[in-house]
Amino acid sequence: MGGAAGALLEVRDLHVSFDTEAGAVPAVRGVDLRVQRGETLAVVGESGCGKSVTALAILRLLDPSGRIERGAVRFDGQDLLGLSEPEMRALRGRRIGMVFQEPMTSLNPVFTVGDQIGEVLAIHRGLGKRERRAEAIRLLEKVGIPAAAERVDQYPHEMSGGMKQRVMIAIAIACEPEVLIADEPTTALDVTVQAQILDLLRALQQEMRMAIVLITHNLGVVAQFAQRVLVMYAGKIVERSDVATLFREPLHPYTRALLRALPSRSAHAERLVSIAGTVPSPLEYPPGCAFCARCPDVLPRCADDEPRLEGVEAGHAVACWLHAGTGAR
Amino acid sequence: MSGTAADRRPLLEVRDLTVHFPVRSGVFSRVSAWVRAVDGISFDLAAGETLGLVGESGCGKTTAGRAVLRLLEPTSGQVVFDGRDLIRMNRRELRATRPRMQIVFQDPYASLNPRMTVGDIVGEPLRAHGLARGSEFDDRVAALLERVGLQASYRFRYPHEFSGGQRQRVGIARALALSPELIVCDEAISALDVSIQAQILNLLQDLQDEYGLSYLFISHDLSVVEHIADRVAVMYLGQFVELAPVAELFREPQHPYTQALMSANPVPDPGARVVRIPLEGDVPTPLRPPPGCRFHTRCPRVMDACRTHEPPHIRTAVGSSVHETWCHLYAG
Amino acid sequence: MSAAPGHVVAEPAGGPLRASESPLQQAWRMLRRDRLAMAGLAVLALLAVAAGAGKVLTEWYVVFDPAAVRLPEKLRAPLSVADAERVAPEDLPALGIYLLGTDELGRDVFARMLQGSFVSLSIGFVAVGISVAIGILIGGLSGYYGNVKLGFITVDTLLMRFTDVMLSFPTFFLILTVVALLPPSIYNIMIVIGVTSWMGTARLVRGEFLSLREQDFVVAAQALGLPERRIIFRHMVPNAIAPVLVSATIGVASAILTESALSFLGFGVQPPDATWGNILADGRSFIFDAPWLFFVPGAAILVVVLAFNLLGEGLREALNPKLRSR
Repeated sequence: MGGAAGALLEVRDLHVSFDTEAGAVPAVRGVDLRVQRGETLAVVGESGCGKSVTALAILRLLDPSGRIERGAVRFDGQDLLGLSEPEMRALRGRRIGMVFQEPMTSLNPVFTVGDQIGEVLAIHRGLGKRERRAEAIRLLEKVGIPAAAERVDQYPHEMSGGMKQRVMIAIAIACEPEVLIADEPTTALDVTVQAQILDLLRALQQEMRMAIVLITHNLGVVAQFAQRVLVMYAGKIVERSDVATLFREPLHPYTRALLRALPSRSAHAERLVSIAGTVPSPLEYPPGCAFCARCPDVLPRCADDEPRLEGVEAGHAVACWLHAGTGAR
Repeated sequence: MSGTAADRRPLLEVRDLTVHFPVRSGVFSRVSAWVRAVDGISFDLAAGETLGLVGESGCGKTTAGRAVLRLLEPTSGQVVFDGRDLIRMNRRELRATRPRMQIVFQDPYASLNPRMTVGDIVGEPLRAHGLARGSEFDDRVAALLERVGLQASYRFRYPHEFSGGQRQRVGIARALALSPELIVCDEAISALDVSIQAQILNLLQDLQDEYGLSYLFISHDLSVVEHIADRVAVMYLGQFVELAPVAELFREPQHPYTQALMSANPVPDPGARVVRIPLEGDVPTPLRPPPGCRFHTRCPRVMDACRTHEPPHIRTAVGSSVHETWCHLYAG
Repeated sequence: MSAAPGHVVAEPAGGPLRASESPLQQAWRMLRRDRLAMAGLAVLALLAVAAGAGKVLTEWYVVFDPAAVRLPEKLRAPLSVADAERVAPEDLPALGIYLLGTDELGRDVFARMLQGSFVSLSIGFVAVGISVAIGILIGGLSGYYGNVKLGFITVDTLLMRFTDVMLSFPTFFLILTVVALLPPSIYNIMIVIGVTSWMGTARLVRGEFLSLREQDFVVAAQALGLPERRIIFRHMVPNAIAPVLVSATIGVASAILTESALSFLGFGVQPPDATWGNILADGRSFIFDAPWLFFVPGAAILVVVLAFNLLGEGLREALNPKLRSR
């Protein structure tokens, strides 16, 4: 595994919980992740697994009811959790870009897209009015919007979903960030548009040597887009691997089941292998492995003993008793 | 199963189905334009068969599904269900036919009345059509819930107490209550997580095997359609561009749009290197669809004829079935 | 971004483990935790008791006589003891005390307030009942049968333009005019207030119906071949009623205010019948000599209107499913 010095963004033992009617609900329970310059790390999992909360916690954009209980987030040597809010604001949008799922609601409907790109340029790059407009047009061209010089004066409602997501990306890359955090950036889009957006992100990444943290539930997108992947379940990372290995040789029973449940990976009309039951409520996580109640290969110790994420081979780690101690460390 | 079905008359025959929505404006809400949501689609669906209907958002697939059930009034066309045209039925006849065709929705949160218990939701159709009462009613509701994999004791609970997958099961139980022959599944699994999707897909397949149901399976997800459908229709801007048996369509897609759609579908296999056919631009508005072939503004293989002339309907025999394409490339 | 807590609470329902709770019970639980709304509810409960008691004790078994005139005892301060020598024994107040003082004719203000609370409250409720009924009818017709054509315009256009016309009248002057023409009875006032205040409800109900009609569960009900009556009353009305209830609660407050204003101006309920409005009107001439004549009805109106508004706000929160975890 790459040395700590190489990591651009590093999260250690992150715990996040939310205050609700029923008390503090754990959402993220000890997540570690590292991203190097220029690489794409996918965080994949089903709804409620804590992947989006992890992204928001890194950016310190959690709802007021959310709280980082413990852990560290380091970006280029700085401890993000120790920064003041103004310092954090200076970082967000400039060195750390972000793209969210809903292109429909992420743009302000009363300003033109040029104004919205310009806002970022004014705040973080201190550009004057005329320069802002020229730069906004250049950015729109860069994200593949045709007739950018005219589009720059349009309002969000005059654009399609794919266009809006391109504008969001233009805003996110306006300051050439070193890391881009993309939370389900293509989920609301059609497949052909999704393909366009992923191609665009890939091209921008190569050009700018940007690191991308891609939060998604779509394993197809992971396979086609990421280099390394973290699989999350019930607020924890259950498997960490490079993409090729994960799809060839998944180790955690949850990952295996998830891959087998994909219709495209089984023959026509064949019964899919589904995972029985549902995700446990965050209020009722068992002391051991959270997947134990649904696991086909459950061992006696799984319910009470929590497995740790352990390396099995270079670059491949799994949190499961089935594979504990098999690692050639 | 489609082999034997082809000999008999299809359960559902849709001919030139067209749905145009008026756009109103002004103080007196005059009709100022028409959205051509569905513009002349035709297909057959045999008993026990699954027809997949795929396309991107705004292509008219959901509208088509609802017009087939006459949940909205088509502008023109025929929907012949078991030999009788639904469009010409009066309200009474339609109401009497409704139990034979049902629908399952995408959003498990919006499709159940939040103020009714699950037992009432599933039992309401039985009661409204006078099919069961008293202890027989209770037994039927319990059996329906159990059939879709829910405990019978859940009947006194409200929808908000269930997870998305469980609610979707309730929606399926409600659709099954009247023992229908046709179920329109409108993005029925799209809102669910992968592992739950698999459960619901399996359930739908089991129910089909058990009751010989026909499905019109509307989805934007090619992998799901490939898995469950016998034949697949691909829709673009209110019209079909291609209709073929599933294996044939995925082996040899003919229409450039189908090819582009398939190449854009992210395959969950990092080794698979798909040659992507990039599509330019966006889908045009259904208010003013382009003349000629509707796909010509984005088609990578566009020719002159495409811009002016409606594409021809090409039919090629594939075994006992037919591969239909609407494209100038294959003319002559 | 706000989806973040939703991610946590939405999906892992796990299976229904909690005791089953209907949406109404759930709303009640939410409401109970809202202290201000519960304070409003308590005030209103008290008022309802007072109004009931007022009706019984001032008209049927006259314990407090609001009409008894005792000129020698005029403008006595609150809590002063009645002078048994100057007043006829049958005119002595209950307990021998003027709880809230007397007015310029020596009438017991407490008795008049009691009588007035019933009148004011019943005007509020009946007027709102009328306005909600008209509002639901017009809004419901417009929302459900909106597309039906009547000649060259649709039902929806017709009804909504009529609503716009009604909204563009200055309501209070309309009421003043109508009341000036009609005999000023309490019933006429109820009807006039009701008939001129339904427009908000109609718009609300129309909006709810339009969005409910597109809801999947309503489409499902149509697909099941359920009768239209059942779709409207079982599936749509119960889901549209929450915002109506909220606006009705606040509507009662504004009806009470309207009645007070009318009575204050002398167009409302006529003496000798007491309402808070005309007690207030009578008291305004004695604001320096007998401030209680002014403050007691004024404070009562303030507190009741505030209580209705607080309850209305509380209901809005409790009944809004978007604010609740699903």
